[in-house]
Amino acid sequence: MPTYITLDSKAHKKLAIRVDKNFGHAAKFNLVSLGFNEIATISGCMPVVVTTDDTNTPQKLAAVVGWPEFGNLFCSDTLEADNLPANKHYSDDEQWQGHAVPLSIQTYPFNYAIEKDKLTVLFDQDSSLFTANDSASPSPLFASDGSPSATLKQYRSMLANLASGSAQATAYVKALLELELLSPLSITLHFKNGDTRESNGLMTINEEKLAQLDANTIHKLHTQGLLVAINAMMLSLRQYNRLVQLTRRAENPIVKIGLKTANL
Amino acid sequence: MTPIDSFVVVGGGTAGWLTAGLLAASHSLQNENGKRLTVTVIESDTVHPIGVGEGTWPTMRSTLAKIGIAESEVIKHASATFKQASKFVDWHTHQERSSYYHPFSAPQGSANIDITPYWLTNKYEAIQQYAQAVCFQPTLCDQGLAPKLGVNAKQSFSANYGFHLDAGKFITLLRNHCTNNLGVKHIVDDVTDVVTSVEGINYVTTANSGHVYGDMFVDCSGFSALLIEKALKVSMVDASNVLFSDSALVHQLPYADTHQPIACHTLSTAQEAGWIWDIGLQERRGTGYVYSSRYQSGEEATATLSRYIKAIDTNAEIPESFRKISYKTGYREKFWEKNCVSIGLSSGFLEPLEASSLMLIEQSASQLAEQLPACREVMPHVAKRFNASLTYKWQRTIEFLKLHYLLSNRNEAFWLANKAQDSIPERLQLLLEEWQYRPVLDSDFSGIDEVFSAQSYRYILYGMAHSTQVSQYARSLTKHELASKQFQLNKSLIMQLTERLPSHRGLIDTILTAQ
Repeated sequence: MPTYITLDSKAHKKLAIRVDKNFGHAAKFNLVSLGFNEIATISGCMPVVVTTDDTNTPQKLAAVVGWPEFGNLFCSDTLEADNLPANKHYSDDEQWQGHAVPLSIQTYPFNYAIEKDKLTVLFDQDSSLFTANDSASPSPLFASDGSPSATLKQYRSMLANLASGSAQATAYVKALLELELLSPLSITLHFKNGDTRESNGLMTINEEKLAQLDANTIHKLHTQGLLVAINAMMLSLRQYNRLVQLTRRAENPIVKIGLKTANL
Repeated sequence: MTPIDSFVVVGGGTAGWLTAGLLAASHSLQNENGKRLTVTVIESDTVHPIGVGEGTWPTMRSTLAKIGIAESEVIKHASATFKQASKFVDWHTHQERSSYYHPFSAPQGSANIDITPYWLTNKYEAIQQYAQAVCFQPTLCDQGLAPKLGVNAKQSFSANYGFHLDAGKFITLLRNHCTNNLGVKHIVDDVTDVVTSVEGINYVTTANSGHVYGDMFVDCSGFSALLIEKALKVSMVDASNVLFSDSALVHQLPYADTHQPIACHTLSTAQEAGWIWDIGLQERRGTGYVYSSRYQSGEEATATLSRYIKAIDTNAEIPESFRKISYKTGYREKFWEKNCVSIGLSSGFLEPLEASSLMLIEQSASQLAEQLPACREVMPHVAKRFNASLTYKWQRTIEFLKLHYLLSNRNEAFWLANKAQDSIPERLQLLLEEWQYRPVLDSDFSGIDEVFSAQSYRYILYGMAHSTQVSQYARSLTKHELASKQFQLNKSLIMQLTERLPSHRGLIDTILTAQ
């Protein structure tokens, strides 16, 4: 588990960061939480879903990036995240295998906390992406005058987007639940060796319920900017094919996938 | 025909090496007879450059590109920093107008609309000062931010900028580049005699290197004006009746902390009888007090500069006396006489209020390099045009500098004298009368030899809170919606940029550590 501590311009003045174009820290992820402001870009690359109700965690907007058998399909499995040289040259299949990267992955090894409407930048002090500010080509987080570098400002603005997107996502999921627009998604994976496996636990838009909404509600969803997100979520299920395609490099890839939405 | 194949540049200061570099780089190939243009610089090692020209215009970027010197070289070898604006402090005694900016970037939307008259109607952002309301750059300067993101910022945003640089180191950089890469010949010697005929200068005699011949000569010998004045007897046009300063006290002030933030603008603070410049380089500030000895004694001026320095750093060591430069404001009656062109201090002197000195060197040298006469027979034609163009540029520059003074409400004798009608050039006086009723128009400054654009005039005029009654002009203000959008766009641009740009010191760090 990452240990996040508050970034301080004095204590961490000498800290520098290197970029991992493979985002190897996320290599074992299957699901990534998503901000509302990311639906447009991510839905063209990954399935966008809502997680099911769990007594411990509230339902969340999320992107599917893989399955337990494969880990995160967008990460290369040939690279060791911890031992990358600072100025590594990445070949095409060693880089993130998609055109979009969820903000929560991009912002790693940073995180944020909000106190009194003010965003505080945190960082994972155990992350191997941090180095002292004197190695080959990493970007320093602070200039010698103690001011934030362009690199840190970029992370900071991504964290601000992440924070606002995640608050909006909570409101969005709440609206979907109130209108009862979510229904469980059941997935059947067919592997090359003949095995099959059912994967449950995710929810998607209930198309029938959506079709039954009255004109006023549809209009309201449209003016709130939610209708486009709802449609994007439905269309994003096609990206499961992209995930299947990405399993090809594995020993026992998925050859077929079945999606079923149980209409309540 | 008598071809022009060789140039002799007398003097090796910034003017000499910039001119040599521009001549050599713009004529680097052979002619059809296989002959190259030779450029020789004679540089004395007993005469030291004045070297207070430490601020440049954005034009220096294209000048350096022409010569073939990369920006990173100037940062690494001339202690250079970025300059995005001039900030004028205390040019007014009102509290609310105690400072204003003249930024290098144009106002928002200036390609499509001049939003100035809309600002003047007081309906838009009237609470904000002019430069802040129309341009993002003053905010970047206030926050000490760099004009761009990084070294390879070609692909992304860049604000307009020039440089602040260490004149001495800059000369060394230019000299090395000219002699190593551009084939400029370098003679280190003193010129002891200049031999002339009706045709102009035949040759110069040096102490140890004999006679040096050339088809053309460039006088970059500084205030001594060895060729243009001593040999060719071209006199000066005095402009001290318009601009009163005649002295400068100079002091270099090391930073208390070597990593402290660097100002990204020239600071110019008005004083009793002039103003103090303050320029942030990488390791030190360059400061100096430009004043009129008619209105303040040397002793008082020394006290004024000492006070300024003490206010910055109470521990600063103040010398008993500062290095002093005395000068006469004015310019040559002719810049090009026979086969001799004067560039730099030999051609005249203007106080460094708008960093015009390096700019005029660049303009003169570029024009010389571009219009280089092929042979002696056509030289007078080129000279005539060159003289007309440079005279125009110097006169317009003097008017623009005067504009800074005459709108002040300071009440010391020096400042009151600056408002006297007979000290204001007529052209400027008439424009000022018109500007009471209409904004500054692009067409007020549309000649091909303009040095300061209408935009620069706007930044000064409205920064100095010149009052304009636009009640008549209002009839032509039909684009309120578009103007309003520009004011909004400026605000959002400020938000975006301040969230992204590194500090000025941060950008310098990045360039210095880049491989």
